[in-house]
Amino acid sequence: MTNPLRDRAAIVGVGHSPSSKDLGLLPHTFTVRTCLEAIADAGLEPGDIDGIAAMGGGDEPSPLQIMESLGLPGVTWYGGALGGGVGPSVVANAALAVASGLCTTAIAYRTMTAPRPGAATYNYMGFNGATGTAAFTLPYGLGVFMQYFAPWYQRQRKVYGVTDEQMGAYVVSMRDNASRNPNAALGTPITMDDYLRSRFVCEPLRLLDCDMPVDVCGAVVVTTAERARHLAHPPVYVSAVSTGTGPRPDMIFWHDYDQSAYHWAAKTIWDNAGLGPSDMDFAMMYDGFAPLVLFGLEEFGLVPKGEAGPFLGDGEHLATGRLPLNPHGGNNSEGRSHAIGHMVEATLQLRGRAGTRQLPDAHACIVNGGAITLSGALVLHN
Amino acid sequence: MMTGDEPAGVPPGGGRGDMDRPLPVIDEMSSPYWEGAREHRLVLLRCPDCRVFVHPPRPSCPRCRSERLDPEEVTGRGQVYSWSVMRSPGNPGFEGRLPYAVLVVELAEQPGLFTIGNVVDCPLEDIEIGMSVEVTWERIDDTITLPQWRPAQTVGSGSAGASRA
Repeated sequence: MTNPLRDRAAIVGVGHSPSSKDLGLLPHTFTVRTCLEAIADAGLEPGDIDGIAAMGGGDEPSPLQIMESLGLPGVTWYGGALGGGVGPSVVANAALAVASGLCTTAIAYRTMTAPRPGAATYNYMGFNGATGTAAFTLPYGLGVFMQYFAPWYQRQRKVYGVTDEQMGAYVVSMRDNASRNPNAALGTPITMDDYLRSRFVCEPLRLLDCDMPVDVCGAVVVTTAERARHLAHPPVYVSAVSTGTGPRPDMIFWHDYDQSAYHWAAKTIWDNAGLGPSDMDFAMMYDGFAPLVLFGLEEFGLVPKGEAGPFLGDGEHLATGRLPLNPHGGNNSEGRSHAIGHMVEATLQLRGRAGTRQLPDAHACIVNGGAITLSGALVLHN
Repeated sequence: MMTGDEPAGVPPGGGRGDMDRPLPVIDEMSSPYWEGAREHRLVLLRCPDCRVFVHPPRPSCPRCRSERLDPEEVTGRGQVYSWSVMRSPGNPGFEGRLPYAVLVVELAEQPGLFTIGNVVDCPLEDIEIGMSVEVTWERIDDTITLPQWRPAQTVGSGSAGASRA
């Protein structure tokens, strides 16, 4: 049976701040500016918005704070992320709300900030002490998020033979892509040698495998398919969204390091979209750690199991390859946006408005977000 | 400060030389584990009904939903499921220990039964997935002794004998 929500919602507006170590603005200020940019891009006014989605917390202003600052007269729907996959997942949640009639036009955003000098250790998860599950990790010096991912990458190398050169091919290409993205933080090309000389942060993960924390906001406006056809840009339809996770909640004590949450996000998305992996003209895969794309490509069925490494090594992910990947440079080179930048780029590509990055024949794509225990995905088409 | 030339694993002086190092906060669920560790016994929770081991401690059995889990000593043997060598600061109390390895050990008792530790008596470059390891003990103080892992030295399935550190 056709999913009744298929193609009922469409992306009609996007906004994206520059990505910078310091935008020199309060997170609140650049979030409001970016949301206004997305609303204007759609050809709408703030008063047209009746739904809002964001996670809030940390430096990110809550949806209710932004609702007030946008001057919205109240909303009929507000929410966070679908599941926990952050950037794409707030858009997915907004799309579900629109498609199911809880609101007509929703804005979804993700705001990230770079750590300021003197700030507490970035992404350290031990501030509550070695309590609960952390009693079994923190005393061993395992408490930073990237350290949780490194053993997952280690097994990909052992089990499938993923090499430094294959991941290097990915990272080098992301810097090149970012050189055509005016919002990117890291647009200066690098060579394979630069990658191979990049220091290990937690072996086998190298510094250049990790996205750089930046001040950034991306915002996306979603409305009904009917309304979308009368706005400023051609609609980008949301065919399906998905999320899911595995049977254990913790990334280190997970059941199997070869089966991430993407496995469950992939279970429903293609049937609901009415499209398959071979229909995708490009893919926007979350790459907060570069080797995450191995899991994204394989678990969503875009590349056969165990073949993502050679796929990258052979350049099949380039604009000229079999399935172009992250033409904006990914989070790896655009900056850490929790893949809201992937959502903006997917939209621009499907509009045919991605400037010098524009891919030929960009009609459908998949976007995913979340790292290992979290997932959120959308299939989009024009 | 280590220079990087020292043997891998527990640093000289061990214990509370690094005052910032987080130490386990013992709670009702985990107390059998830490009591066992004080006596150099690796004690996990096991479901008396479906016999599954559960680690880290949980309030109930995720397989059969039994609300009771009992402490049971395990062999202290396993294999390296994965590992990483930490070369960047970020963990309070560990800056002076860099580089150090964190192992994900799959215990012999059950597939997917993972525990975490550092490696002892093993050069970092010798660590590999699939390496057989056995538990050893790092005494911190009268309350806390941490299980750690070293290349297997004993043959066979000698229960606590595997842990004669």
